[in-house]
Amino acid sequence: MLGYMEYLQDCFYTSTGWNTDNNYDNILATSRNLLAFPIPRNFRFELSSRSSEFTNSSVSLTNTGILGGSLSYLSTTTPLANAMASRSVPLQSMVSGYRILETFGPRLPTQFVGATLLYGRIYFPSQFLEGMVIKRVSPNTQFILKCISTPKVTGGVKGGGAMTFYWQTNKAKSSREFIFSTSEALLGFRCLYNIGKGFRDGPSRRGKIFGSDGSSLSIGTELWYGALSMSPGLSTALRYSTYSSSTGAPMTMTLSCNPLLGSFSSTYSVRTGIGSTFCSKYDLNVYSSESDLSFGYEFWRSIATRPPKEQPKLDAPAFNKLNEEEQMRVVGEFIGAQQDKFGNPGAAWGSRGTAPFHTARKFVSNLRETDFSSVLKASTSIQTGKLSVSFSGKIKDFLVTTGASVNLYDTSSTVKAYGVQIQYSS
Amino acid sequence: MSFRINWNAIEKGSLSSWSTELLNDALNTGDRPNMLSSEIQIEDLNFGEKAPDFEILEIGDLGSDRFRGIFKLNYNGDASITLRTKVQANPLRIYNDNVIDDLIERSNPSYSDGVEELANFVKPQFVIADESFSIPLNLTLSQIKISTIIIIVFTKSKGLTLVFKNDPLESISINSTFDRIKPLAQLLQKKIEIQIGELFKEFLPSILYKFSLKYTTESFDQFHKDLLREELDDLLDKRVNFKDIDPEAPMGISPGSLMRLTTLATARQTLALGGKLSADRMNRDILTKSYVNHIVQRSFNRLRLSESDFENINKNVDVIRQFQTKIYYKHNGDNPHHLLDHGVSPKRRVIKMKKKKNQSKQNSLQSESSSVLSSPAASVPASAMTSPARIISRKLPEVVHDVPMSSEESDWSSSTLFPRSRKPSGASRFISMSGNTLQKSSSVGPISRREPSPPLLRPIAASAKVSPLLNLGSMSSYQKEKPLPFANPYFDSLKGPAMVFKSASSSRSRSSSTASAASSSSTSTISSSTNSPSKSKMSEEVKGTNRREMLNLFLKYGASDFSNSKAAKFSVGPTHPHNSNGIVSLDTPPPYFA
Repeated sequence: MLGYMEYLQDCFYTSTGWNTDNNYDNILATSRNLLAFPIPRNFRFELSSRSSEFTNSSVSLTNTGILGGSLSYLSTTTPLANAMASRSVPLQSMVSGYRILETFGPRLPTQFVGATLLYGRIYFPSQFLEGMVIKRVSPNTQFILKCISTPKVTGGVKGGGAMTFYWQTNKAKSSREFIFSTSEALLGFRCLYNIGKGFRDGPSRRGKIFGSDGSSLSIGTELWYGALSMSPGLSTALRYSTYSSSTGAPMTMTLSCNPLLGSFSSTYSVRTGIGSTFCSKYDLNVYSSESDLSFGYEFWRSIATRPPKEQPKLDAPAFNKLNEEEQMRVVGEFIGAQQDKFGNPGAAWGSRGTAPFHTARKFVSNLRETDFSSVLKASTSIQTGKLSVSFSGKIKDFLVTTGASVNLYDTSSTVKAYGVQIQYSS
Repeated sequence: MSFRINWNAIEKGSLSSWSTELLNDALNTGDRPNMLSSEIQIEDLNFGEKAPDFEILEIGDLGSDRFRGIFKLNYNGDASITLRTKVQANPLRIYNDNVIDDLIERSNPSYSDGVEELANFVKPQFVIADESFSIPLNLTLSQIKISTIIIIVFTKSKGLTLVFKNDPLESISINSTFDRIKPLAQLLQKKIEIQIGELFKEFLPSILYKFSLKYTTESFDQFHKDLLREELDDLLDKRVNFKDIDPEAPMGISPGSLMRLTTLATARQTLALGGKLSADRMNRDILTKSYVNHIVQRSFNRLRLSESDFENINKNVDVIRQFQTKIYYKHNGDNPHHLLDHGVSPKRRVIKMKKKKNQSKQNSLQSESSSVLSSPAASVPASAMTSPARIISRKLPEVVHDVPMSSEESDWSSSTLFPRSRKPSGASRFISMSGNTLQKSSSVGPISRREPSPPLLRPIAASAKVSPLLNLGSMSSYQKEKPLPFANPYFDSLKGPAMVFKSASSSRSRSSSTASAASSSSTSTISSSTNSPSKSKMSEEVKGTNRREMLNLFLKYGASDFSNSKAAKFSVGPTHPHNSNGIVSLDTPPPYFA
């Protein structure tokens, strides 16, 4: 589960129309969320509050034999209207799971130029400091500064710190990112390109959510070079995301490789239903012939299925009053019904695949509207034998996450990691 | 001075596996560097065939609790060691770990909880560029050339300090998986040479120092005890059962063999050896030479005396020393009147006798019945005392040492001399020393046998309290219950003559009869040798004796052969009415003088 501050950061991106899915950073996000989800390692209680729409503060207490904690503060120049308290926040936005690719390219660009996020946190009793500044420089450009500081404490420990700078450009067709980190003077470059029609640079029209048929193909690469340690790094990845033509279930396939080390990995993730996701990953190293197969599974439990909306009777004037999206939906439903009646694929209508497009939309909107009460995640890997289980849910107004990780092959050892996190925000 | 090191013995033992374990532990303790993705394992450890040359250049300070020496070590052998590990080949992975390590290093170790969060916050999120990629690495170190001068300083309080005067490693050959990649191989070679240099300079001395402290802080007694306990445990473990030898017929051993084995086994426990090696048959408290020699040669390492034993010995030694020196000075003193003034005659050599009572009686008796006989008997010891007594007193420290050992320790062969505690003490050293003196004294033996002197014989006869001629029953009972004060190899040589009167009286045992046969010749020499030099002197000393008479008698009886004198002895016997009381003094003539 995301911490409250991370959640707010996401809210900031969403509200300022910054699409994080268009970053190379997140090209493998889906499989990462399903296979390598974080396991809480301690007991942690986080109490957060929104004093205003611009300022937020949070206190956390942790206990791992020694009592610790942190105090954090976040403020934005734009109101975070979409940030919700723990009572009402949808679980999907707090627990990152399968990522349904949203619109490409930043939305509402001009309005949020100069939007800034300031964040700071101090840890106790270690007195570590971390801080972050996010500033939207231009409609398509964003600057991020992250820094940490370790204080000079008694006992001959020298203080120090590190900074990381990000310069990100995000366009519908592509995104680029320059990174510099002061630790070992690491330089990085990342880029991502979206291939196919339907992606246009510049402000995209509202509602133009998907590509031509709701699928997207992205390819990207990252280059790293640690100037001080002379350590290079390189990887490249390809992502294809589409929707099942019959059920509308979204699925994502990725193929990534690290040419320097000869490792290849492919993932296949599919939201098999509203409440379940399955992910598999196959790793292969061509140099050492080592391979691994990993599986991840996610089960979302909804509080109650909402009664299907009564479809208002549509006449011509009512249809015209609807916005484009609604019109599309109505048409899609109609086509779908027709298709069902005749048993023919939508292609018979000569449209551009509107039928699967429609089912996909239906699926996604269903997903968005469902209130989930809890999610259970499990992942395992054949090579390492590591089994991780995590449970996140809403209990009353609290958000609770617990999890454990064990090694199935190493029977002698007990549970490797376990912990509980409780969050409350108002 | 240089050492010869039995190099081949090393490999045979468990040293190889032991050191492999030790190295494995040593290499994997502490934080593993991020460069390595698995533990370091010793694949192969070979000590090679060639031994190192080890030479002592100088020993500066040598004490029981300190040592300082300079050594020279040369090694150019074929020892080799093969290590196996896995190396992380992805530099970004190492970068990731370094970020965390850096933070941990800079933070207070007890607050390292938030470090991971912090590191994840600041470091860029790599997609798969930081994937782990381990390369197995085999590293073989061989052709090690070492040439160095080592300075070792050891003090009990400060432990062991080892210093290499120069860089010990001359050259080493390193073979690895990366041999084909030239720059990498060179880098490895360079790095490892530096590391080994540091190992010799810092790691090895510090390990040795810690190891030595472990033992110097303990008491040495405890250390020895532990060692001995281990040794004992080893011995106990090595028990062999008949069942193991022949599982089908565990009792298939013949009764005879079984008997012999049992004897051997018990002999090992009690040291009461059967067969050739034994204590004197007649007197168990007298050790035969061969028996002592056997014990000394075979097992004096194992002898352990307790402190109480040692005290006892000292006491007895003192008594005997006093006794002997007194006699020596008395009879070598220029003042013969001294003896006379105090009314003390040489007969006083038998301390344990109730002298005062007897002397008056004896004097009267002797004067009455056999004054002729008694006078030479009394005079002979006094005269002969001069020469052999001096020998004894000269050898006093040595003789005195073994005497109490063998005689006063009445249960010499029992376990008190070999206490279970196995605590090494001065006593064991004492035993080894006395072993030497025993051998020495055995060499003395023949000399004294060649010219055995009556005074030396006398104590035996005297301490017998009873004239063997007269009372056989008391003689035998004496032998059973009372140890001879001078039972030692010295007296072993005297035993021959002593047995003479045994045989003369009864010829009760085979050994005594043979001994008498052997000693019959020697007794004849006694008389001739003793009467010659100090005849006049001793006759002067003796109170109230006719010098001429005495001489005549002495010559007569001394020269006479024993078979003839037998009758005479028996005839003499009844003249001593007090013999039966067991309080006959030295004045009683030795039977062969009778």
